[in-house]
Amino acid sequence: MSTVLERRTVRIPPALVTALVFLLLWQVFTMWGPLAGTSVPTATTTVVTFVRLLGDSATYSALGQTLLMAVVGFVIAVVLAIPVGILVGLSRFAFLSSKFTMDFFKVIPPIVIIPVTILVFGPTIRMGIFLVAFAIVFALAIQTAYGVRDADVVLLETMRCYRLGIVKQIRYARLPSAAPFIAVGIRISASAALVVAVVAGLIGGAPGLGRAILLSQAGGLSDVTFALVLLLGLLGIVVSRTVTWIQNRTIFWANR
Amino acid sequence: MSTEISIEHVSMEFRTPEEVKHVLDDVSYSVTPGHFVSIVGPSGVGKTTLLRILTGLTQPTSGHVAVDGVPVKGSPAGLAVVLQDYTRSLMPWLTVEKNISLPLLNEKLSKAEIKERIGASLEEVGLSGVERSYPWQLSGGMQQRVSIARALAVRPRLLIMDEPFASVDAQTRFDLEDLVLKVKDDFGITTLMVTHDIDEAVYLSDEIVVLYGKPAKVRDVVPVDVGASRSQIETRNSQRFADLRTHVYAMVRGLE
Amino acid sequence: MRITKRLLAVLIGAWLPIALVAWWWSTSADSTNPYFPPLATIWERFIELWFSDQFLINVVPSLRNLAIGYALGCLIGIVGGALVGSSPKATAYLEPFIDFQRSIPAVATVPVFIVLFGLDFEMRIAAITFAATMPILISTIQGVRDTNLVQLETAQVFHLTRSQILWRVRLPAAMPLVFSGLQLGLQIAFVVTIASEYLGAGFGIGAFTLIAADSFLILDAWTGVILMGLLGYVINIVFDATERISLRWYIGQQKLS
Repeated sequence: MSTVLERRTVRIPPALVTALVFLLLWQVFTMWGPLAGTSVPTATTTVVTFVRLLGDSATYSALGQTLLMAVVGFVIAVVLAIPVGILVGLSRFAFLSSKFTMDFFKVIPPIVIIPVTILVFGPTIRMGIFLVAFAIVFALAIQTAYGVRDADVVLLETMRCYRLGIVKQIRYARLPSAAPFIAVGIRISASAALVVAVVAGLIGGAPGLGRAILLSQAGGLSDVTFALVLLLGLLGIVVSRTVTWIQNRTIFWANR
Repeated sequence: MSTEISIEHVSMEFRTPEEVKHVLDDVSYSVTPGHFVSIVGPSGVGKTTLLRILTGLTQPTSGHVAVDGVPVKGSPAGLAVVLQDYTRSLMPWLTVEKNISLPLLNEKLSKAEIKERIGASLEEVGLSGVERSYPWQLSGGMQQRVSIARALAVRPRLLIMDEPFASVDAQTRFDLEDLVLKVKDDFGITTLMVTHDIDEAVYLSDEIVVLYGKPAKVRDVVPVDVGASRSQIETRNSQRFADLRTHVYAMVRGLE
Repeated sequence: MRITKRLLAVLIGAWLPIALVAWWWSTSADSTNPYFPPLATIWERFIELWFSDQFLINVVPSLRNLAIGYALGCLIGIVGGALVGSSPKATAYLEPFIDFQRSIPAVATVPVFIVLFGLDFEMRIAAITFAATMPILISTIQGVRDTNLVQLETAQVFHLTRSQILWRVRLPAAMPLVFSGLQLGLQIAFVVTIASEYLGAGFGIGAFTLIAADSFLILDAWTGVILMGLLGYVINIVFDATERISLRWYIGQQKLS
């Protein structure tokens, strides 16, 4: 009898245990511990606010604006970066010429240029789109160029021996070699796009979830701040899982 | 400085959810102190499993192993090993001298003593002057010499080698074989070696243990009576050598 | 031969940035657009501002915060990651939780730290440390967890203790992966340093630049942006050089294979 019972006990996933312990500690700290009576919200208040936000249409319009900036900026960057990356990768001279410049812009975080974008665009959706595109385009272009240059030399020489023209070389050697590089670049860029769209709102005042956090913090609504940050964490996981899921189904060779 | 090893009724099973794999069945054997013993057998017969049991890395399902009458629990004291995979068993971030001194960490030795041991060990294997090099800067044969020097630095009473010369070229292999014979003459260390090269086993050993069957049993123990001093040309060309090789080969292939 | 080849590569890499700056300089020379002042004027202001005690007042505190926060993040990330990664149980309990923490954009955690610590020094250090810790922690856990079995068993046979195996075998073996976490951590720490100034009390290079932009001090905003860009780039170069020296063994080994 007891063995049957034992078999039926569901094994609790360790991650869930950790999450529950964390929530419990948070609750204890904010109700009776050193953080009691401060502006730090309790775990329960935060969860209640989180649920309330999920039922609030304003949350969805903010979410929509953030996603709009992320998606449009992402698409612009991809449309620019991939052709440029391919062209640059085809020529050794072009690659060496632009490598330093692209590396320079690649490592400059977009947050740095926000003051100038505020001047030029003001706190608008367009500013968010620009920042997202700026954040991604250089890294993606350089990644694409690396992929094109990584093509198999033996394969290329074989093709040349058979007098296959440059178009066929690109089609059958360069692009297949660049594809996995591009896939990795796109996966990283998608997550970065979301982050930058949030930062554009939080620092630059562009509309969306970022601005919602900024306003809640400035207005002293700390439970809303915490709940929105929680929402962003979940959103980040959803985005990275979705991109991985799409890639696994569309370009299966990307994971070779 | 030599050691007696006894293997008594050792059996080994690996359990996976799908099946139980019976690898070793009632293996018993005693190694005479100071002897060089090779373990041979067909691929996948369980030679390496038996070595792992001797080093204390794996526990047998039943039976036991004792070194100088002391049952093996964890790695026995005075043991040194040389593995086939020198590229992994030497730590690539440590120089040759640091690699050799790694096993000396817990022996209470002064800096001068450690330096002395490193120098002596490298000299024994004919590799003086590479103390400051990294292992990956050396050829495969030299790396395996470093691995042997590291084993000697602990002044072992028992040396265990798992296909030590499998990944080096033929010429280097002969040199390393003669090096091992020299080490044996100099220190009289009891040595156990797994090999799939029957010529090598005959050339080096005082005794050869043949494992055969599924699960593996000791098929035969062959004393190698080709004289105490060996030479690559004379020993390998003697009639007795040829007879022994044929005999062991036939057993390994299941022909006898 | 090799040196001239490298020199050639540098020369080829240099013409485009030089051309870009020259193009900016000449096209902006008689610019009337208030938002895009002539580069010559920006440069004048740049020298006036940042080659003066303004550098000590605005830039040095930012760099100091970054250094303190990043150092703490490295310490917590590497030591914590090594301890967690060497225990499969701890990894199972903590890794998904840390993964979740990391999926929150680091800049978005700054308001949380403001609620917890207020607007000043402690908040900045806490936010920078937290941001730097996460990627370092995760890459260290992965690196230490996946130590090569041959190396582990070799260490075991030679009677190294558990802690010797952790600090002398597992952690050094994990260093190539740890360094990728260190680099990401540094980049994020830099971003959060600036964000904590944008959002916190108004001092530091980030606050200076944002306030300049909000007050339509366009020249000052441009010089701030350029300085922050250069700082970001220099920090990356310093990191790359450190990595090349620390991972000499790894790079050398990779080159051979």
